[in-house]
Amino acid sequence: MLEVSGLVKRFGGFTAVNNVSFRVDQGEILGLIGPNGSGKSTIFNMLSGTLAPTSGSILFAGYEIAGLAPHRIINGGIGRTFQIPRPFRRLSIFENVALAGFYGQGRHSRAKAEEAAERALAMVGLPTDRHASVDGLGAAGLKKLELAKALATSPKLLLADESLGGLDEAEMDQAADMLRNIRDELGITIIWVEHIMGVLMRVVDRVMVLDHGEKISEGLPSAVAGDPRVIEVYLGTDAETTQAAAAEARRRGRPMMLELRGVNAGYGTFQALFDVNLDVKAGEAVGVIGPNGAGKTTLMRVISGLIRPSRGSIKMEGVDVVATPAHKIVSLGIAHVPENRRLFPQLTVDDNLKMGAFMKDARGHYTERLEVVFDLFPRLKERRHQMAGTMSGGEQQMCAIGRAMMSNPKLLLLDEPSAGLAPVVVQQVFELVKRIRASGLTVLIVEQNVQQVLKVVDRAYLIEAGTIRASGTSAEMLASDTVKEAYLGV
Amino acid sequence: MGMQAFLDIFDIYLLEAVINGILLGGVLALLALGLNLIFGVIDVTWICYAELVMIGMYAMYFMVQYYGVSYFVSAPLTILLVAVLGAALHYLVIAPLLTAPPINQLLATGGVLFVLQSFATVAFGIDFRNLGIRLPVLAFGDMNFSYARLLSFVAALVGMVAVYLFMTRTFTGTAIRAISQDRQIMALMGVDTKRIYLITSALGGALAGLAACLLVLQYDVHPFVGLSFGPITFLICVLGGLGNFIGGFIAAFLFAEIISLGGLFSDLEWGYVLAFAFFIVMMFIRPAGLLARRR
Repeated sequence: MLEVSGLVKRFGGFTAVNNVSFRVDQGEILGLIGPNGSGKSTIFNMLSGTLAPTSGSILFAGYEIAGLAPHRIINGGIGRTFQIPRPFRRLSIFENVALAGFYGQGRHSRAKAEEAAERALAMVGLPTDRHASVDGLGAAGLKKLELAKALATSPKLLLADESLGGLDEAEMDQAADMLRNIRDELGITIIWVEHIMGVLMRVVDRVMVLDHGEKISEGLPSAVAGDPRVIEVYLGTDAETTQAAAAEARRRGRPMMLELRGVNAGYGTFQALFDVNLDVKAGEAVGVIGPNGAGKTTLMRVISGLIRPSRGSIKMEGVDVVATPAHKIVSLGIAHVPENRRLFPQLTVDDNLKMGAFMKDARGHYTERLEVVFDLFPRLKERRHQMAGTMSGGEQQMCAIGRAMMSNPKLLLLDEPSAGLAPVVVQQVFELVKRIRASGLTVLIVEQNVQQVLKVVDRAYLIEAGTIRASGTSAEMLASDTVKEAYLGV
Repeated sequence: MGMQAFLDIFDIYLLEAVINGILLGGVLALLALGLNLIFGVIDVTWICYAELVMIGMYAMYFMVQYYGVSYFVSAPLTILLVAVLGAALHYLVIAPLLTAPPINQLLATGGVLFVLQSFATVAFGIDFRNLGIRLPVLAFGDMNFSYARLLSFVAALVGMVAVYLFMTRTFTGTAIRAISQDRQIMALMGVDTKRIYLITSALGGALAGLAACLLVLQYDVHPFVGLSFGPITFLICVLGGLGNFIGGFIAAFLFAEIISLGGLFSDLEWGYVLAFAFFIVMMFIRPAGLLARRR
């Protein structure tokens, strides 16, 4: 049905997809997995016409579709869902789906579009009532709507992009079953991209694994999960076991620094954290690992006060900070390096660092702290008069960490420091984390890159769907079946 | 107008007009800076900005004319008063509407505009009033320059330099620049965004106050005086790119020159017509402003 050969996509000098070939047979469900930035979405965008391939061919039902405009590809029978649902809010659920049915099938007839919409809505279990509003839908409902829109275009091949993100466990199972039903009942072939592998592995017929734009493994789910290359990509193999003993020694007798008990948190009606307990002792480096959308960033935001927990307690050195506004939590010694760095792009490096020392107590030590940060990151000193936004990703990450360290914190929160960086730079960033550790700072680090993070932390927690699933020393976590299951679904 | 007449006025009057344009540009740039500051940092447009200036002009009038306070004592008091007014405007009107749709914020400050105009009408009447200070005219060769304009220009420049130093040298000033780039993470730096907004509003008010002290030297005060420079200030800000300080600065001088040179060849009103026509054309060429705000 679909035959992809030698697919390449370059962005400038960066090769996002490198010579990938695969085929999908009629009626099959193919799972497409890989860490962040491995090229999954780029492949999807080329299949659906959003991006034109640099080279390679995509044969769909015998026709070459590489480089065609998206609307022609959709009319040809390839439907797709998007990771982040963007319905037309002013239209009813039915109108949203009918619109997709009308245009997606080449504007045949209104009656046909409405018929398709009704079928699609019934299939995913949304109300077929013509006036039901989009506003009432939760995260799961929006994902269903996304699916219904794709189905209404009467696809022969469905591209499902991260249909599970932001769903709780029951909803995930439901969504996975739905994809299976779509295949079984409508005979639609599916390619499914997902971070959350556990559920995916149960449903798909075959899996293809990408890493750094290349296909590293393909086959039956059970075989792929046992493939050493796949395990290495997701979990790494070379964490030093000696680290564990040292960590245990360090742990004993240290006072408690951060203590979370029974924390629930979320955004509006969407709950992202469920009953989270977590400890960080003084001088420790603790990691929180887990797939995308597991609640890692929310956890960081709750600790630094950017969002308020709906239940539970958060204590910093014995002081409850649940009711403390974020700008005051900083003065208790918590510095948060946010996801994607969030520098002030049009301020100089100097000014960015200056903002890190904004607090009254920190201003007095501004010059001393600047010395400390420049000592740790000599590169920043060279670039001090440069606009932060014009630096490379790795340098920006240095600047973000440096900015956080300007407030002379006791506890450093690092949210995905490796996100969006090239592999070589990722190595450098983890070297930085090691150096910060060595300076005696307590660190809580959230990462998707398990392989790297377990090398630099003493202990780690596994978080999945907003719940802490496992915890232990780095070595224990590496050996843990729960961790393997979370990432590989075995 | 014959060719000869054109040449006659060309050299010396042209130079005079160019210089007068620069002098006018100083005050316009000051007003644009205040408005841009508010927009860039708080993401709100104070439609009633020129009315704050009007209140400041009345304050100057009453202090100088009515109570006989010296001009140089009245000026700092007026700046302080309008700064407080700016902070109050933020606290009472903008802060409750911060998360509201922009149109509501616009309507609310529009409402304040009418309230201030009506207040001034009721309280002070619709008479045109002036300070009664007549500053001399400087003759330089064959050219004449109003001393008031020269003073305004210098004071406006000093005001802008002061703001520049504040914005680049102090922690609070840096925070004001930072907050316009990423407001969500300011709390992680220990910055209380509410406080920064209030300071910014007071600063915006202070700039309006300074402009009032300078404009009152050249113009009569009446409740609708805001209309003579409010709209032009908005045009300048939009032309320069809303929220872009440097763009606003350049646009202010560009506008002032067009008005001044246009007035040279015809009436002053034609200068304004030319300026507005220029604005409309520029909006087609660069819809986001001369220096579009980079995000």
